[in-house]
Amino acid sequence: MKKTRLMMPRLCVLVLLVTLTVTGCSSDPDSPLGTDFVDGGLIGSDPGTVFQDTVIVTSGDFNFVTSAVLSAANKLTVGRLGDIETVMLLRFNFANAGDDTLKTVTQVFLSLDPTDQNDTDSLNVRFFPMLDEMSDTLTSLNLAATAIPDPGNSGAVDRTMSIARTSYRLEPTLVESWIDNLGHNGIAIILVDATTTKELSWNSQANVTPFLRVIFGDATETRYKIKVNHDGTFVTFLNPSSNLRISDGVRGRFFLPIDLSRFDTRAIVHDAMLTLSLVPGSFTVGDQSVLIYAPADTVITSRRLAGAGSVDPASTVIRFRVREAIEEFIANPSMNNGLVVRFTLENSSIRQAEFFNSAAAPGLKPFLSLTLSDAPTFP
Amino acid sequence: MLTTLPATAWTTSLFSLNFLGEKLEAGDARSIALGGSTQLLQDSLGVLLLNPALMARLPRVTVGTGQFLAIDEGRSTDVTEQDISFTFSSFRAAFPLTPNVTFSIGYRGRYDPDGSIGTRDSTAAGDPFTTTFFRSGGLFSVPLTASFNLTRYASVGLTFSFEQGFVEDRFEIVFDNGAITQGAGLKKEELSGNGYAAGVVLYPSDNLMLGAMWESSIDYDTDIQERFTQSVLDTFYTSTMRLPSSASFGVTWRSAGSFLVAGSAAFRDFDDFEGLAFPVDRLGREESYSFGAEYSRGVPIRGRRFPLRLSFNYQKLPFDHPLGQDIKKFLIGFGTGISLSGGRGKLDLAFQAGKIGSISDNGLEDRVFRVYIGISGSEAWTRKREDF
Repeated sequence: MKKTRLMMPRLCVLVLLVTLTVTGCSSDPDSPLGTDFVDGGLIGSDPGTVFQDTVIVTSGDFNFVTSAVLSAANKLTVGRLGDIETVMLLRFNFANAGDDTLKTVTQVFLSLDPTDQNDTDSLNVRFFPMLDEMSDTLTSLNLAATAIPDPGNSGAVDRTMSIARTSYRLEPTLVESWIDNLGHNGIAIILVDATTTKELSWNSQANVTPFLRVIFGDATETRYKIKVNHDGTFVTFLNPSSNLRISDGVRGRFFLPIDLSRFDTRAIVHDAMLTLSLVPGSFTVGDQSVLIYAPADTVITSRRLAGAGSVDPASTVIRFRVREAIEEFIANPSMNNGLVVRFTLENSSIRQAEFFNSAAAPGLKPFLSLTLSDAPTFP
Repeated sequence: MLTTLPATAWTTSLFSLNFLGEKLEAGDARSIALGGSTQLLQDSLGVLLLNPALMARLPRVTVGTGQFLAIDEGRSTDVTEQDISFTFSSFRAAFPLTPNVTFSIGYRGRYDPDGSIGTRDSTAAGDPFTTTFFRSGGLFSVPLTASFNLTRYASVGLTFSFEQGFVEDRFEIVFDNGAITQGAGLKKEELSGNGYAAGVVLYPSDNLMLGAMWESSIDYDTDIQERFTQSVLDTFYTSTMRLPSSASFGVTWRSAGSFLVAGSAAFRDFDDFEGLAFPVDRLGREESYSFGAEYSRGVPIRGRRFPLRLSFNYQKLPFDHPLGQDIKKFLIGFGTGISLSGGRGKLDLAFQAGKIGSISDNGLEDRVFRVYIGISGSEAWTRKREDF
């Protein structure tokens, strides 16, 4: 009986403590009560007003090319279609010439494999030695003044190129100098007739690439293949566009300056959307992926990825979310080197897309939509 | 980069969102039921009483703890919101070293700033978002007290305390559209300092107690950390905060029968406050006046007698809202208790109901209901003295 009398109060205490602990752990949704404290400044902190703003690109945008060589495709082309002219570039590998350097070259044949056996087109072309080393970053061609003559045609420089003809003669002494390691940078096969609207293509796959068949005075023969990754199609757009253009094959990009100077460096960037208006009909088929990057410095080819998107020919605009880049630009203006837009794939095929630039009508200029909040304040 | 933080704040009172927060009552539930921690009470188990001189008359090693459950209903002209929370407010252990000297160590909360407010809005483009402000933290003290019986008519107590605390303000801006990045900011101030206190209680007669207590100002060293979504804004620096000194006075009269009445007043002049970047022109004197009565014989229930306690407490908060308008706190308290273990322990319950602020004067008010529970127990490690 005495034990029970002592136990009961203690049990009540325990139950009461547990009940208070359990029932105390509750919370309600955040309430607007107390906002007067914030407005009155007594709490002393201010998260900052959320607002939206638009930055329109009004000047300073431009196109630029980082390379005019399509080198990754499985074919090489020469000719002209529409406003695109193509030149075939070939550089052969003479590194393992060995004893061939002691021999005299008597005949040389450039062997090409057509992609379409049924193509009946023919082109008037010339073969030129390249003065600059063939690479996939060339933006211009520097060629010898004189074309390579055709020994099989009395040394004529003009040649007829067609699918029916897969072998073209080159001057033996010229090739012998290449074998002797006396400056082979490559060959450019260029269309001669400016009015042509035809194009021929040749295979450039792993097992089917152009090669030089060299015959020596001792009746021996060597086949020299393309130096790895040293063949490609040099692409030229004949009609420069006044619009902003991205292109593949020719690695064309465009630069947009972004003026954020009016924003407080301490502002929080909640969202930043870059909108570009697509020029109707300007997008040619191919991969639609586009990326945007923030140049790491004034050298606009070096980059930090800022956003990605895709071109939808059915849509009139493309939008990029570039929040992190814009936040960095606002917080640290010295990091603001603008934005650059390009195709994600730049070495896949010859294609392009155009966008309206800063000179376009007000609704078509590139612009940046921002959602920000004022710098927070803690006194 | 700071984005969002888990919501951990809770509200004990709407006005706890402001300044240092709500002033915590550190006494046990008996003193709360009688008006507050500044009341002078002669209690052999009153280890949680505030005046350090009162420890001198504890007969045995005594340990006590106090907590409270708060049910607060915040009101404005448009919105009513209820919050429930639980707070651990005090703990103390007292050790009589000699017949006239007692040492104690404990913990007590001083101020509790907790709560959150949120608003809904949308951008011009129609993106809805919620802005939420959170405040949390608290100031607390670890007092080391030595209490002395000078004569049968007077006791004194001296306290050295380790003062700690933190105040954390943070906000979040969260958009309904998950693709839009949230924003957040946080400012955390960690405070540390030391304080002193002294108390005296006079016993001119068996029925009368007079007492006073003084707490020194506390100079806190403050480490401040600010973090934002924009990490380049993050910063760390040091500062100071000064909590002004306070004084309290009390008188208690006990009848020859079973009645007891107690009254006290306490003041802390926040004109001397420094720190926290609070606008000094909004600060004034913090005041508290308490009156309580107890029928210690109580009412019999199932063979046990439960004392009856009733009190009234008026406080003026140290800041105004809006500018120039005082904030007043009115509390009615009542309570009872039960003796445990043949008098070696006790359980006290106190209930407070009241109002802080008013809609007509301040635009905001809190209707509060608090349940305090205090538990104390003692052991006769040494037989100390005859009870006074």
